[in-house]
Amino acid sequence: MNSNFPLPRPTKVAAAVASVLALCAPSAFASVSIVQGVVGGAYFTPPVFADTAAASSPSSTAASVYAGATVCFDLNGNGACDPGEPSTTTSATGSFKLSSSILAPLVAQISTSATNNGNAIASRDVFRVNVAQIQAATKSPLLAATVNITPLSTEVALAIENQGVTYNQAVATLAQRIGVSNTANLLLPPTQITNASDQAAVVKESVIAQGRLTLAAKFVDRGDTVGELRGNFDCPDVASFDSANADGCSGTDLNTVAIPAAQEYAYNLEGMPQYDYVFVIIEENESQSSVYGSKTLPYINSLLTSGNLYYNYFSTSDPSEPNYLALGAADDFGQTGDEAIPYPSIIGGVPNLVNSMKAAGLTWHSYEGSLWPSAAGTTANVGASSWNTGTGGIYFDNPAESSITGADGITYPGGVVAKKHNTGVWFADAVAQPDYPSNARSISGAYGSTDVNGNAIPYSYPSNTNATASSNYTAAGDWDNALQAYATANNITSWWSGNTQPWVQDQFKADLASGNVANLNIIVPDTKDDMHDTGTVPRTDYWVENVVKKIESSAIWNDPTKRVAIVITFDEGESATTSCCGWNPERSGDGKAQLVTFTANGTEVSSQSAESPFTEAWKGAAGTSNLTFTPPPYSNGNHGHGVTTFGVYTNQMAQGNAPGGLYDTDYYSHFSFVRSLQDIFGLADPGLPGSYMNRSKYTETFINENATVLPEFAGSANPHFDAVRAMNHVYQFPAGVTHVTSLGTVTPPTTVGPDPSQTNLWATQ
Amino acid sequence: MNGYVKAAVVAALLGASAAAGASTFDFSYTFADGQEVTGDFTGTTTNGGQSVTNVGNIQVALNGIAFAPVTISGVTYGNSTLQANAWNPSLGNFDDTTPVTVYANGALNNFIFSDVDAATNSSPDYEFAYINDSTNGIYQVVAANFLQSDSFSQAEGNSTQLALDSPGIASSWTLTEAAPVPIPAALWLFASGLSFFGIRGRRRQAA
Repeated sequence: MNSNFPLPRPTKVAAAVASVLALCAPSAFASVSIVQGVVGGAYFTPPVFADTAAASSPSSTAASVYAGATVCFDLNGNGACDPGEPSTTTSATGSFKLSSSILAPLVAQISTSATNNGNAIASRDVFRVNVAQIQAATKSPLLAATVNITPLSTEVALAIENQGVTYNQAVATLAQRIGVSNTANLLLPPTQITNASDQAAVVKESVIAQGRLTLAAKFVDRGDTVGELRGNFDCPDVASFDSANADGCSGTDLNTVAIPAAQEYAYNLEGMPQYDYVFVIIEENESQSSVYGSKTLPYINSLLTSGNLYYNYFSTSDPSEPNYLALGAADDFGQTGDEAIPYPSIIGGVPNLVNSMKAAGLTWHSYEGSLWPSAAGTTANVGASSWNTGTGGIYFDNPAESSITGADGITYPGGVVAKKHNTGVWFADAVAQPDYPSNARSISGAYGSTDVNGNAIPYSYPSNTNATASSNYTAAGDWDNALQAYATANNITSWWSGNTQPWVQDQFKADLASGNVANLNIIVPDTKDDMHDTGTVPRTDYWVENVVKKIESSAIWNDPTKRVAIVITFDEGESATTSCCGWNPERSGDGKAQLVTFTANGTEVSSQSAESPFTEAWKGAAGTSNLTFTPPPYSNGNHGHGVTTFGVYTNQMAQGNAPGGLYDTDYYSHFSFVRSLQDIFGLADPGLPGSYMNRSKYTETFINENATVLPEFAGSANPHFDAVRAMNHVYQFPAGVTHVTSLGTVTPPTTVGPDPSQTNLWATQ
Repeated sequence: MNGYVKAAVVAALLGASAAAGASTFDFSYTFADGQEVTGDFTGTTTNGGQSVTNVGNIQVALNGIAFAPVTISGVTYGNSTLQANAWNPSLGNFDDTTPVTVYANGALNNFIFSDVDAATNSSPDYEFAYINDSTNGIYQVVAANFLQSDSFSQAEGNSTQLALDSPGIASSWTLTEAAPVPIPAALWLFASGLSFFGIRGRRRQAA
């Protein structure tokens, strides 16, 4: 005990207090503390996901209070209410009052016996208050300070503890980040906020935070280790199966954590920092060697060099469809071609990013080039029966390209807008959500289209489809400005006959201006701008420049309190039938898929040879569900199509101190990226493999534990190479070990031993 | 009885003793949740009998447990002497210089009784504060016994040795002058007087 710690006061259970105080951190303060307040937050009703619109429903949120929660002064700073610590229980209205002879942080333990707005609590939460918040609310230590314990008070506490900021700085930063206009509202229980906009912002952030804090409580209850939580899941077990590629266990890796540290890790799942906005620009069909260093793609290369680059990022298959499936749900579902057309063909509640974002209270948008513009989205984009049929869908899939034959044998016309490039369009329960139309939005394009009068719209930029020489370069510009000019000149206010939706030409720019972009934004150019039809011509570079500059000029990018990332990647690499990071039957003789069943805590309990249908238990936020994939052609999945480009550029680099110009030579794939997004947005539980989508759960630990039922992995020459991991750069190649880099055609500077920097390329500082 | 009537009655009671010099005054405050502070102190009525100054000899109990030292394992915690400090709205704190005045009308009170000098010490062992500060918007009645409060019962929302009303409820406050305590000499004179009148009466009856 610190010698300056105040003498303990006698109590009815003095011995218990003494035992608590024996653990006291030296941060206690020599004054009494009297507090009153409310334990509040949000009650979130998740969406109902179903394959039909009739059976689907959106989510809802409400400001809430927690009754029956234990509130205490956390004398020893362990984030728990221990015996002997001053404690009380919240009333039916969530209120509490409490005093202590020692000023200390406050903790609200919300167990499953408490209620949230009268509703049962499925998994416990712990909210906290830093002493600085109590001090700020204290007029005199001898009088009661009003201190509310909420998810946001916990985020303020975490910022003070881990970012070296003051209480006032933490409050101001969080208020600005989430859009609360009056900082006095930030730490009120949402039920007491009268400003509707501020209340909505606090409620939304409360939902997001509660998800993270629930995870943190699980970390503690499970006894997760530091190694696991920093993203090195292999550390505790690695010696037992892969000593040659053993991830190093540092001194504290096997320590368990208490709530404060667990909550910090919950905002850095597997070492991946939380981002507020991620923009993923997906180009088409170019291997890394065609892009990196290309003279025709100077802008993209400038992003790759000023940002950070992954040298060994593998695509999933060829053609595009399996890759977009992988980008949307971390699995190719056994597809090796365009079998899943017509969409949405993935039924039965398969976990996907669209629904996972919504289930966590987060938002997603797709922005598709040449999709007709509308502020309210494109309703006609949803009805599968209207797609590619020439009866309305023609407006969305312009029949300018070669046709595609679906699994049903029907030939569908292609289009400038390749619907299969929308990562959410495949999933029936995502498309059936009521807000799907408004989330599928437009971005620059309209090449080759006709207007509502049947007149061809001239494209404002030369097609230059085969231009490679610098003499053929044209100036970059704004696609949408050009189309707007056309519309204005031709008095076009609607893009198709009978359209009643308001027309906004540049929906992406409008969303950036209003701050109404989503947390996850999937940006897919049309096939003239994504290199699919043209290759690496300058126009594709200009298109990326146009989009990125819009982001860079937006308020959210230039707001230092918001974390914004731009990803540039490609669906496939075109270089070879190679892949990594996920079940790769090509490397093991086309083995049959296996049925693996998990318990609620994520451990495997049974397996059997999987014949059709393939059923797998999946434990997600909503509980355990059984997923059935029919047919189960996993033996044909993950063909791989070589190494492609993956670059990350963030406003943390542009505005702050986050490092740029780094690279990571570890192996990643689309599955890894989805796993990373799940970590970035707090969508999954690192200690519960079943909560990750499909193949992205195949970590080294998972493979090791399930080797007997995953013969493909059991025969793997390199479990690390075959495993899926977050793109966190935690893995450090042992000295002298040569990387498996022959699969890529652009050789990274370092191919033996650790990378020069092991910094996470998504680092925020 | 509403608060105003009650305060008027109390004021009348205090006024009745205005000429009597230092007196003992009983007080009580019943919190909205039913907890109660009781106690007494000595002082002098002022302001036409509506307030008391020169406060001393303070005794306070919260829910029947006195604000008094506690000895555990041979170590005594707490101070047996309670003192009063006034709340100074200009400072936004308690001070040593503003005279402490306790009002019959609870809505006028701005004081604290504790076992420390509340102007300089923020670690009392027990306290009873009654604050009405329009300048800083602080309206509270607080009673806390920190020697008893490190382990509360799990009773819903209440701690057995912490009581709070925010804002305070003036009608829950009573301040009355205690009945004068007879001293032996006075008792003798009183008895003598009674005897005198008794003898005289008997004589008149006999006559």
